Amino acid sequence: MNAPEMVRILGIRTETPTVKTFILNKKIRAKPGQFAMLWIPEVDEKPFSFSKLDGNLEITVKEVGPFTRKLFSLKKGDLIGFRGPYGDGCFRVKGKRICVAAGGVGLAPLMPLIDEILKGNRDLTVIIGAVTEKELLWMDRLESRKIDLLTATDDGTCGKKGSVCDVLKKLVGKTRFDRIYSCGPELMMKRVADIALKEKIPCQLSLERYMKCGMGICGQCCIDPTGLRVCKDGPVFTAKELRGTEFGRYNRNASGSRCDL
Amino acid sequence: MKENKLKKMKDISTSLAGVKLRNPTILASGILGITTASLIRIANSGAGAITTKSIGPVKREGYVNPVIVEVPCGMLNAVGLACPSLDDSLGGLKDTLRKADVPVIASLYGRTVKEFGEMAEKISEVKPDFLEANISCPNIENEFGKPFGTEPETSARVTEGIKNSTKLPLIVKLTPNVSDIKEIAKAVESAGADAISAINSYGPGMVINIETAIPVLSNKVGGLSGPAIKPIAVRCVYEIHETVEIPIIGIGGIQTGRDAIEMLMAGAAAVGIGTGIMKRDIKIFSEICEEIRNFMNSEGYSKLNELIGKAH
Ligand SMILES: Cc1cc2nc3c(=O)[nH]c(=O)nc-3n(C[C@H](O)[C@H](O)[C@H](O)COP(=O)(O)OP(=O)(O)OC[C@H]3O[C@@H](n4cnc5c(N)ncnc54)[C@H](O)[C@@H]3O)c2cc1C
Ligand SMILES: Cc1cc2nc3c(=O)[nH]c(=O)nc-3n(C[C@H](O)[C@H](O)[C@H](O)COP(=O)(O)O)c2cc1C
Ligand code: FES
Repeated sequence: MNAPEMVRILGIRTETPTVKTFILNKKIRAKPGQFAMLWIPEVDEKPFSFSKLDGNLEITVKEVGPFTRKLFSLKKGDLIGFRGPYGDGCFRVKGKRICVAAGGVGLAPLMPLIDEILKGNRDLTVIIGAVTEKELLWMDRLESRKIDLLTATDDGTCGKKGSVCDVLKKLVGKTRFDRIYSCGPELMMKRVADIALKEKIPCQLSLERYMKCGMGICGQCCIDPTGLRVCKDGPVFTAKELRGTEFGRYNRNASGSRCDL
Repeated sequence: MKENKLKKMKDISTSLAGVKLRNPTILASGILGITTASLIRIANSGAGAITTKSIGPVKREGYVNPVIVEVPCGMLNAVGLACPSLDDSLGGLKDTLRKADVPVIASLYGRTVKEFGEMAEKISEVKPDFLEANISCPNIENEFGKPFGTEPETSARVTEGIKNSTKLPLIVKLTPNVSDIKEIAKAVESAGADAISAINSYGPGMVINIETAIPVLSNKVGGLSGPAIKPIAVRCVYEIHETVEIPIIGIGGIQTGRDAIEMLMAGAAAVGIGTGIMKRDIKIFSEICEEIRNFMNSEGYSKLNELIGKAH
């Protein structure tokens, strides 16, 4: 039923100065890349991806505006409305040599994917980026696993000074990846997609668009000119599906008006 | 095999006020109709005609989420007539008309009787195949007052105002939330409407979350759509068909070919589909057409016309 079910927040972890993880008293079978609509009564209802799928669901959130600020004020034991999982388009693990490129909190939906990749015998490179070292998510968790970890920060406080894309660009010249997976700010993802298309490496990316129904009915989140719905046909698309579309150029706000990126 | 193929291709075209539709399924207003890309995708997936989200005079963000909530046998919605600026909407409509290979119905609303006429005039410049006047949205009462479509006289004045501002065929979309829909239908026909859409969503209704004791929709109330309102829609179409000569688009709860046929038999010349997409996704249009053809084959109907109004 596409109606909010109240679930209890079992715990809250502070990940970085601006990012928190919420552990929900909810267990479902979902796929990497899928999301839920979270409702704070009398405030709003907004989409968030799952950052952990095994056991109790987790979502990892960056504070950016009124809704996320309100979410950050909730306490362990509080209730939150949940409907989902949504998104037919999810991450699909394939290939032997894999690269995951994440910008900021974009790493959240990629975590269940990383878990799945590591279950098989695969070589995994993860590039994470943030404005500064303190904002890099889950360094310790990633370092302790069988991952080739690379970092980039805008201010150069950790790893390469620059963006995830700069690191990726260098890397694809040396290593032949079978797959690239990415999530992060859209302009970063656009560069990742362009690199992947140029190098002919299959690539999947998780998109964001303003959502209302979240279930493919209202038409709020459609991509030009294919009409694919981010909530239903996505949120994960291949770079090929996004080639020549509005991706990387503009999106739409709540009224449906176009906004340049 | 050859015979089978011929049967499959059975003609299920219909016509509305002189405009031919390749099949009787129409995308209802407000569902997947915000952007050209989405409307064209629905046309390509098999709809016989497409209706835009209702176009309004000024930019509106609509209501805060949640704007929809599912209930057993349907859903409530209070999107709140969100739309971009009129210029942006007209640009989008122009683009849709350029790309669509099926008739395009431009749905519109105004805040006053006069504004309906002004909107019709502006939209007509872009030349959609039809105008559809939404005089029946049940979710905006707090802001706009009672829907225009709840009184015969106001319904007629809106219809007349639009007809005086356009040469395009006009569909008037009625609300079921009236004690006598026949009166309204008669009034809009006399005022010059070329067709009637029936029905808009019912109610409004309310869903309260009991853990928090708070209504789920931010607008508290929303229009009911889906299978729950199908019997009401069928009854409305049946009554309207008995009252007026102009063609009817039957809308409300259609999910299968059988539902569509029921609506045709009640007197609809075509059917609108909205909430059904929640269950069957956008392939619903081609699938319903296929189901109508199969029914016609097995029951020995040769033309869609034979179904229209058959229950009378
Ligand atoms: C499929 C999907 C998955 C997401 N997963 C995560 C996640 O795991 N972690 C996370 O921190 N954020 C995630 N987001 C983004 C999150 O939904 C927004 O950060 C949040 O809605 C911002 O609300 P706000 O009121 O705090 O900020 P605002 O100031 O209202 O908005 C900040 C930004 O969020 C966008 N936004 C606002 N409302 C919506 C909406 N209804 N639908 C989509 N975008 C909106 C705005 O366009 C703007 O760019 C996801 C978005 C989508 C579409
Ligand atoms: C999410 C949603 C938005 C709608 N928006 C509009 C609208 O803008 N204009 C309009 O005339 N009808 C609107 N409607 C009503 C539908 O066009 C239709 O009349 C009604 O939903 C009944 O049909 P259904 O049961 O097939 O959905 C909307 C319905 C839904 C579910
Ligand atoms: S948010 Fe409604 S269709 Fe995607």
